[in-house]
Amino acid sequence: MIFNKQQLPLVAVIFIFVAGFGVWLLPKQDSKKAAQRISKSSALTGEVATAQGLPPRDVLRGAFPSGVEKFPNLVEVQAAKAFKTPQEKRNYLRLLEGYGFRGAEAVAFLKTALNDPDQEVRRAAMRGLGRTETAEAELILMAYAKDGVAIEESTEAALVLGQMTNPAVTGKIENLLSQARDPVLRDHLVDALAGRPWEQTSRFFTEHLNNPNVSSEEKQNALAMLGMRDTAPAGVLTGALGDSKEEVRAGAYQGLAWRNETAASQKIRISLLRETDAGVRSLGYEAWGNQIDASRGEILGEYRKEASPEVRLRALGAWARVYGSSPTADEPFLPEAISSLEQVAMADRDPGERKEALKALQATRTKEGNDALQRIAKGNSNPRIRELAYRLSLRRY
Amino acid sequence: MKITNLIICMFIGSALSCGVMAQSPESVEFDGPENAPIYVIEGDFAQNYSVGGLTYDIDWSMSANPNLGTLIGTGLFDIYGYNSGYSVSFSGAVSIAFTVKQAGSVVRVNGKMGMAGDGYVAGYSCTANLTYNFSNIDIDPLTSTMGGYISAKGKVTIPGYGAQSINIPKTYLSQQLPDVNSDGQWDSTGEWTAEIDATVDAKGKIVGTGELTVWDEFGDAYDVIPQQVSGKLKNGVVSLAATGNSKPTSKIKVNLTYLESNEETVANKNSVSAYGQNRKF
Repeated sequence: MIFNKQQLPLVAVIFIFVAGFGVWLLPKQDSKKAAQRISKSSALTGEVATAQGLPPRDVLRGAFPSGVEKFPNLVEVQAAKAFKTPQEKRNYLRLLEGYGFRGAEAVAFLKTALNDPDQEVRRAAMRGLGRTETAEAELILMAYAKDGVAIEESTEAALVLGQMTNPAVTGKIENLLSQARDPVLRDHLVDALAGRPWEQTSRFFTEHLNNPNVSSEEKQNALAMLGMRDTAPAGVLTGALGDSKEEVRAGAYQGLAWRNETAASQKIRISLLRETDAGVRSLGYEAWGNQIDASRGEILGEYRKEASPEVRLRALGAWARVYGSSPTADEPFLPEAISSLEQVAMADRDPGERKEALKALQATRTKEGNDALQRIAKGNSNPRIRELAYRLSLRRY
Repeated sequence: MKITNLIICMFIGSALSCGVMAQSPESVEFDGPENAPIYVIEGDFAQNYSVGGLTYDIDWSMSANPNLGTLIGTGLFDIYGYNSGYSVSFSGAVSIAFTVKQAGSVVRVNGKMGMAGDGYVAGYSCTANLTYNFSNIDIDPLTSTMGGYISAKGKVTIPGYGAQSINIPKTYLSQQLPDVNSDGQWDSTGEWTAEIDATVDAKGKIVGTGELTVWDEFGDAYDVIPQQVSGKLKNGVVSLAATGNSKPTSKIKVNLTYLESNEETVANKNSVSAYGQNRKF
């Protein structure tokens, strides 16, 4: 798409987020250089955009200087190999990874690095191999992503394979999963698949989630990761709410708590009616609070029925999140919600629960919530809670 | 019924205190060894930087679920200044969701950061939704670094001018961890303590309760997790398994095995699981 003159402000806005993203790409100690580099591209982007407009791809190119000059060459990598300090080692690892961007020419050196006695170096070499996007790298990594290899390295290989762009890699990861027995490795192979495009993995996950031989814990992880990665349609997650296994439903709640822009509040509400375990109910409320169609009145109704303090707190958190997304001045429940949350934050024995209460208070985005945070910041017995409450109270509401 | 006194003192290079009551239940406090840290990645994070005339302030709080190893956070961002002659004032909310997983000695984080906000660019009102995806970020608390992949996608809308998708491909990220506390220090020490109150019957069966506490560098607890304890005393070897006493904490475990005679732990027969991490020692 080409921007017309009226769309130029849009180009500028896109740049804002892309440039912000760019700062993450470089180490903090290089932030000055990063700023200079991105500033330079900013000028270029602005100049061209105001003159004739640019398609988004070119805007991105401007914000991310790419090409050979960005990637280390073999001389640089070999020089960095003689590291002496932790910082120099970190630099060598980064160069190994970056060297992979050079593609096939980098494979030979990276293969030798796989024989390094330092496991961190070997894992960095694997990441570099992944960046080469070569068939040889695929084969090497597949040989590592197996039982019997050190778990740090087998999981690294699995995750790197998951990042490779060749669509055929998806089937290879599925094949590796069918052979793997180590639960940690299996978990990482599923994670690798969850991040790949849904059109490549839909058949696999449909079968995986319905396979009686797959453990409930593995299904739980798969659903949670699919939600986090925003790859699977929301229906895959809501469909799992009907599973007979508690762990599977818990995974569906986790996925729905993390997935962007789902409107499954009624399915979650109905599903919650069958949940008896406090932990699963808590996850259910976290998912409910994340739905764009959630009704705070409905959440309040269920909150009133809850007996478990920890579930009540999560229900309040969901209510606060929904209320905070569109606060109104005449909400009669607000004072009670603030009071209940403040009580937990001040008196609960578990610091984790106190922190949950602080988050919920902040989520209300009200003066009342902010006042409560300030009181907690002054009077809480736990210094960590005081600090967190203080930080949260600094935010606007 | 004969009551065997458990003198549960263990020395594996870590601090230990032991209080033995006159009768059962016996009490033990065990400090996690340095080679079995449990890192807690939570706190208040802040990033402030300037790029091309724009200032970015991102501030978020993140807390960890000790059972699931998940990190959930919320925060705010502000972007303001001038870019290519445009005045910019943009702000909104940040939401964070990460999982922490361990494989052997490696701790990795996966997750996403959502940014949704509105503001003005050159006088134009606009909205933006953007999701940054973080993949396979290696966390190294010892050097305060993290490395992995990041990508982003989203949409920018200017009412009256239309909407435009943003799609940033996967790119490698390597940088210092954001500052965590007000001193600018990464304050996850990895320290933990297991406290156990247990009784043993004539057959050597042990039952009791316990607490796992994970500490920050100030000696304040991140979390205190109540546990149920079971175990056995057999052939002079004490084996204890402490597990979270409810389903929401059921994945939080401490396993200890030690010799009754000299109270020394048996190497590689002990473990701790919490915050998505599992350490054997």
